[in-house]
Amino acid sequence: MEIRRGIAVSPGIAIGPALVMDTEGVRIRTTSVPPDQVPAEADRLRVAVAAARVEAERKQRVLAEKFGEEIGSIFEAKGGLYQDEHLIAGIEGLIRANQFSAEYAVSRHIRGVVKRLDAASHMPQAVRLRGDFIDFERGLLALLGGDQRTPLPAVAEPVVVLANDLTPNETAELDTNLVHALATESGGATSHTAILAGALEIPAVVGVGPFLTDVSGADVVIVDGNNGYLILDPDEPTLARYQEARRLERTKSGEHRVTSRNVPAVTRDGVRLTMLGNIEFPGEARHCLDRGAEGVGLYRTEFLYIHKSEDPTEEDHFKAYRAVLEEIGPDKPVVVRTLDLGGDKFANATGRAAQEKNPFLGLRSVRLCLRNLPLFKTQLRAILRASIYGDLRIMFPMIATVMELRQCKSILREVQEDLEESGIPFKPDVPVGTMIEVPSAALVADVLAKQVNFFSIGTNDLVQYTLAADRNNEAVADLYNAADPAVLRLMDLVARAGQAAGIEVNVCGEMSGEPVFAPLLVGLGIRQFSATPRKIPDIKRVVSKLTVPDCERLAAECLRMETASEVTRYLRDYTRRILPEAAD
Amino acid sequence: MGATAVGGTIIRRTVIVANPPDGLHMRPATAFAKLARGLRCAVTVRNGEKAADGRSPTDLLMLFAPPGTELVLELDGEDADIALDPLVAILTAGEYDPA
Repeated sequence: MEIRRGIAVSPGIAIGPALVMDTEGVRIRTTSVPPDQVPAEADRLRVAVAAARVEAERKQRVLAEKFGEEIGSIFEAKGGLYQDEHLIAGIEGLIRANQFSAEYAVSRHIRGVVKRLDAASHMPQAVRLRGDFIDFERGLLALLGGDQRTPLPAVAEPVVVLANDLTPNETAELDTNLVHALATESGGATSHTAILAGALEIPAVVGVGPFLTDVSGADVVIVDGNNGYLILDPDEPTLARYQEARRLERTKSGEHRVTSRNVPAVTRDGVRLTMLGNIEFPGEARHCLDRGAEGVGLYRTEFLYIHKSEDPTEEDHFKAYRAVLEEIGPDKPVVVRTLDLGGDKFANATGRAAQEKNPFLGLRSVRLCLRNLPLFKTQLRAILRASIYGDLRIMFPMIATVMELRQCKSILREVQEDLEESGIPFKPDVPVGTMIEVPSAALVADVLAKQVNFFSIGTNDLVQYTLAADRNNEAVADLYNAADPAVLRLMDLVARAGQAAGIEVNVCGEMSGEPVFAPLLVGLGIRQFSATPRKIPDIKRVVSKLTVPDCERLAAECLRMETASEVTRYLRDYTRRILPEAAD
Repeated sequence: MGATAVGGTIIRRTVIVANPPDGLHMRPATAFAKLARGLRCAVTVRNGEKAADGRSPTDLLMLFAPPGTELVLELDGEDADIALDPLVAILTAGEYDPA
């Protein structure tokens, strides 16, 4: 048993077979085979080894012919492992002794070798050999699986996904019902993995450091998202303890849901706030209702684009939006954010410029849409068509200038005219809003406010752009802090611009889901929160302890502070006083 | 080369690894194991505490023997005497300049 410590980013406990993601996406389907299949399994291994050997020899010959013996011998060397009778016999031994599947036996054996090599990593030979053995493992696994490399989406049974880091396109099509937890070697508290886990309401631990070499696919692992532990190869008592903890947790969360669900978010002095949910996949609309959200404050639509060979059709969009509206009901708002791809997210052939040197400051999000009108209009048409099924609202992301917002609105008008001409029904008065997540937009919020029906402050990007710190880069992650006075001043500006224009100002970043920030946001005049559904009951509880005048004093105090850590300490102390269990 | 000790049919010989630039790497290990597999005697290679079965390239590689390493070769079996020199030749192939 090994216990690794990481950053707990999404609470809960999960126990399950590991699905180890590597760059090849090879996965191991089963760990063991029935006793009568053991000889066949050993044969399968032998056949794969023979095939790998032939392939290595062929490569060696081709290279030797082309570039001479010297280069060819590199492959002879790599092929050497396939001829290593002892190595192969060791793997076969695992199959025969433990009824392991051929894949699992290969993986287990090589992980053991790699571990020994890692222990000797001060020797250059060990580092090179490590690569050879990893190649050997991948080569054999690929041959054993034929061409059935299983990317993440095609998982067929519940698994705990282990990876160095999950990329957005790997996760976009994830079958969320089958992934019980996530654990990654890298990543921080605001990485994509963390956000995804929050959205899916599954336990997650990130930033664990290297562990993938210590685990084989289908090993049983425990993810403790409450305390930030990843437990490999748990012993019986540990397993039993966690099984019990998980059982208790399920009972408790069921009760918690029921009690807080129908209680509105009202401050101690009677001010009513609106709690909305952030969702990424249509299936999450259900989570919003379960957790007592009064609608969807941020419906991210990127999942429609990511990992697709073609752009989504108008029908694809329409079906997704309609499904959410029908689930949420006719009287609750659903804010659909238009395409926000770019930066760390992968866009397929949507007219994206060649590799950008600085994608976060490049052609992304609404900028991409304004350059690719057919793509943009397809989405807007679908959104408008879906508008008749409920209280739909449109929101444009990453607006940096007044001009961009005007362009978006004029394109929306064009689409409305097209629909009108074709006699296709839509709601003519769909509210239009803009995200405020670029400092330039915050600074001209008073001008923007005259053009829209609502603002939504996207704190994740606002923090990143204000402090010029990438939240996924551990080297500068300490700069990335929502409590920074610079961020608070911009938010204050936006909140006051909204109030002056009489429009709603929502906060939809991670910040709105953190109980410690709730008093500050209320004090800044925010009356609408949009957060990961799971966080809503906690926010409601904090809100019920607040009074608006106290919060306003607190916000004024924070705005006068000089550093993020001062603000953080102050907010934590305050929350600890009013609701001790919510402060940490 | 160290002394050759003969006791029964066991032959021991100390060898300084050459095999530039990496020492006992994949190529010599594979060649050594191939030769060892063709023998009737058991072949053990020791690097201090660590011992490798001479018929396994993986085992040999795990000895981590850069040029200049002192390895002890141990042959146990009827063809040990004729096997020794070719095996030593593989480990000492190439110029090793300790300077």
